[in-house]
Amino acid sequence: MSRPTLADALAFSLSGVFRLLLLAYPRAFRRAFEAEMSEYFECTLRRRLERRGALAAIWWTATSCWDLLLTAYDECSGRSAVTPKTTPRPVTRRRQGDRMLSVMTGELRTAFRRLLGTPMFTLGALSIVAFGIGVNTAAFTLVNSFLFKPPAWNEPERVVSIYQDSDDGEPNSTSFPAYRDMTAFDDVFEAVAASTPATLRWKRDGAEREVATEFVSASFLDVVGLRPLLGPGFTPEHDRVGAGAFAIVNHRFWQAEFAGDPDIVGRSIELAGQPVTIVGVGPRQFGGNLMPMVTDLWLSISSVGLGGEYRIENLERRQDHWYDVKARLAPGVTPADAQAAMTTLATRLEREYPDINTNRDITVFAYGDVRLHPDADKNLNQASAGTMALVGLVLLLACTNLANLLTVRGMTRLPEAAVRRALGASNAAVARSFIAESLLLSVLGGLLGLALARALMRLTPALPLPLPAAGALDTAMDLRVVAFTFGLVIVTGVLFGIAPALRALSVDFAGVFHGGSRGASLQRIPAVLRGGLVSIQMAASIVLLIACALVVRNTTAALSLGAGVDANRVAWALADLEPLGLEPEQYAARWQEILERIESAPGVDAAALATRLPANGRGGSTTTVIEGYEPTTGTGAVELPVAWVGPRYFEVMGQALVEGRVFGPEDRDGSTPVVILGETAARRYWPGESAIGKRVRPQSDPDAWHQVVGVVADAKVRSLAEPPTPIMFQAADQVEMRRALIVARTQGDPTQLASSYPDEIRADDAQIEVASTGDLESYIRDGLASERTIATVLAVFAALALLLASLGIYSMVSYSVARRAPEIGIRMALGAAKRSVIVSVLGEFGIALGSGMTLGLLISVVMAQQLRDVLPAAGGVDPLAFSAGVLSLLLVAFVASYVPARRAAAADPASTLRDD
Amino acid sequence: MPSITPLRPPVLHILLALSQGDLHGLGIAESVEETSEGAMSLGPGTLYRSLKEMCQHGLITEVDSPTDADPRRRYYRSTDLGRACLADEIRRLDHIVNVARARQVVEPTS
Repeated sequence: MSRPTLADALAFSLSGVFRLLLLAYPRAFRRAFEAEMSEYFECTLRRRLERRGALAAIWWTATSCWDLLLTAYDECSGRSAVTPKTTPRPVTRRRQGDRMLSVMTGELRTAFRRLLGTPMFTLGALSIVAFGIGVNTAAFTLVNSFLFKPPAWNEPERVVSIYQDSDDGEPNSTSFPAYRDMTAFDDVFEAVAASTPATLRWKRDGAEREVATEFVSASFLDVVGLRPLLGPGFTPEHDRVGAGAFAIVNHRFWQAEFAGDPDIVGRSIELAGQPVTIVGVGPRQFGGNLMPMVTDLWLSISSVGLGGEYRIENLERRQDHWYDVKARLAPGVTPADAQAAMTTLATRLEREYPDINTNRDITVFAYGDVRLHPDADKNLNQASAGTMALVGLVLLLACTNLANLLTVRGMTRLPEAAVRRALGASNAAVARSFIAESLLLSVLGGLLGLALARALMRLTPALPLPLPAAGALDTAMDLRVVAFTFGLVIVTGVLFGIAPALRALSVDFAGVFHGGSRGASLQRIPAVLRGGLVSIQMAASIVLLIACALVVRNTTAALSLGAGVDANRVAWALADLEPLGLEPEQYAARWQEILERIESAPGVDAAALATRLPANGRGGSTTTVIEGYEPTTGTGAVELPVAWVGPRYFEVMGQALVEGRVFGPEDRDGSTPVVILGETAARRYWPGESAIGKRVRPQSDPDAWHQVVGVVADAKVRSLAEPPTPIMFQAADQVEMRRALIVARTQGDPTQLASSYPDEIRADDAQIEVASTGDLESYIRDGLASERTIATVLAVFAALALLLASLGIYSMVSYSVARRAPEIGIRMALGAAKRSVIVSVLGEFGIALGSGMTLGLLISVVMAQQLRDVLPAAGGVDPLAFSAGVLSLLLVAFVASYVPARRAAAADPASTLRDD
Repeated sequence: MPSITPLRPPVLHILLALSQGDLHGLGIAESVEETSEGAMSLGPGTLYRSLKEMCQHGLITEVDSPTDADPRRRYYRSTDLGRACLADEIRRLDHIVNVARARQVVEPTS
């Protein structure tokens, strides 16, 4: 598994810039030297990149491009590279550099004034550049922090990631006992560390907020090869449960929350209601294992109880895979050696624990082969590629538009250039004035764009992005990112500033004066260039529009499919009886009292306990052995989502009973353990026969067989957009429930019921905690929050694309109309109908519009098919999404070209001809 | 013989690099960078434009590439004119350096 590195991407784009600039040379020169020049450039680029880093490579590109432009100019004007300069240098007291500088500042000052004189053009060009750079930098920063940014470890190439297989046979995560076994391989590993994330509540001065934490073994800093900035950090003693609770504070968190207090070590903070002693401040550059998220606090293994009692139990359970393991290889040991050692461990574990470890491999990933997690990386690469493609399209649009505007402007400035040359200005001076203007535009626009990017990055944490963990996103802007985008826009600006400049030098200026507007004053922009710019914009816009329409369709389609439950009129609350400190057998009765009180309220039909709500990712799963069903992969068991629910749960949810019975009062502690399955599960595991009476058990307990007593209609399990997913329900009354969701169906307003919950639940005992309440319908809708965010972001992109496309088409048509004004005047004077004039102007761009749209549609069809898996509800080439995209673009294109065409037709022919 | 001294720095360095034997463009660039200890770095445009014109002026000439070389690369060799120009230029520079030394413009390097 190898991913193109950032270095590759950088080298590729920089040499692209160089190759593009080669076009500035005359054809004969290019034909003779192009290949060798590119080779020379790329060889040197690679070497600088490897030896001296990205900045040196960018510097080399900048100097080479500058050199290239200067020599291209000399080559075009026939100036010798060999014979000494014959013209004496002007005698000045200043040094050459100073003179150049003063000429350039003068040039820039004039350009600035000229830009102020044409505010509409300036505003248009600046906003295009700013949006192009801003959006692109923000998106690339995000992708960079996910994919490319190297972790701040010491000698990261010695760090490997180790995963035990999941039940499906994919490298996934590791049990704590297996981690302990790994630490015994001290000839292979210098240090091994285990970590597991947890979101905990931090109470300070009466206020509470959530913090992102990781429980880590004491060795975690040894693996990354860093030392705490302050304090002793963890010692092996802190890996033992019962030693107390200890924390290391992230450097950033220390700065932000404790104002960098140097006496922090030894202080105590309150996490999840328990005191925790701070034993250190983390290394400045280290953000934790949750990249790209930042961990606020690292907690010792001795503190795992903070995350719940079960975390203490699963430290000893080989069937619970809760930990991520990373290790630092001993000197001279290769990842392959480590893999061999871990394979022997896997074999040994299989022999010792055949029930749970048969066929369970242990895989070692070398540094660079895994970014977040082997499983997450796939989605990550896809999402990042998608983002970059979209951003690339917007950047393409921005660049073509800038090119558009600069070309048109360059053409309208030709008479001015001719006057200057006639008055004796040198070629260089004329060219400089063109380049100064586009350079100024690019730089100013670029600065605005960076400001925009910063603002966008500030905004990101507030967006419900599909991120792997809670906490702050590490989005420090990378210098390379800035250099890349800035460079790209400056090159576009300079390139399209040079094209008209070269034209200005070659134009016959006598013709400019004699010919009037019919002659050369509006020089022809080659039809191919004009048409090409318009078609590229059409194609790019249509792809963006359709992508946006597809995502929106997917979201709306998923919502309309529904969750498979009757969510209307259901309210829920999360309650915690733990603070009551009841005896284990008292919980069931207490819950029953609460449920009865709620059911007795007016309008309430039924109430029940549950541990998860439909269509939501939060909720556990159990590795389950299914009698008579042999999974094709993995360890002979399936990972089955599980919910513990009360007797009236299905009534509350409106889920129909397909077969058998629902839970009843007979299913209590001590009676035969029973389960109810979703329809998909029943059909998948026992196709063609009834599931009733069949048995399932957790893989970890060979004797705990549960009997299937019922099958209910499917409801969505993890998300609205998922394909049918199996689920298993167990009887809440057969286990000890301390914390549970209460769901109830009412005839009235569910939000009202939700708001009355806390009082109802706590009527007898104010110590019961009610963490949150709400109505089910909005809860399910909120499950699509990240999809909606993506749709919104795409909509912004699409709107931007439409705006840019309309601007591009408008400027091209206006230009064309201005150029044809005399012709149109004559036609009108000869009695042509307005309509025929408009049609002829529109017809000129018909081919460009049509071909751009066709190209865009073809790309969109391929894209829609690629996205079929990601957007299942939209279902590939969705006719509605496609027609929406095409129609909106057609409309905008029509208006953008109709307005100037109509203006031309409406002009008074006499005055047009008189102007000439 | 037409004198084209003073030689422009890129021309001087290219001739100096070719004084050791035939080289292709990339080889010349590397040699220049090495002998000047990184102080002189020829941009691709300057290098190939100079090569083209030096051929036209007869300072250097294209030769067949060695049998084992990449066929795309062109090799160059100093002509008699080129060597003469280089010698002229070096003598000129040498004279200037001597004058400067005599006037103790710079600290003697030892």
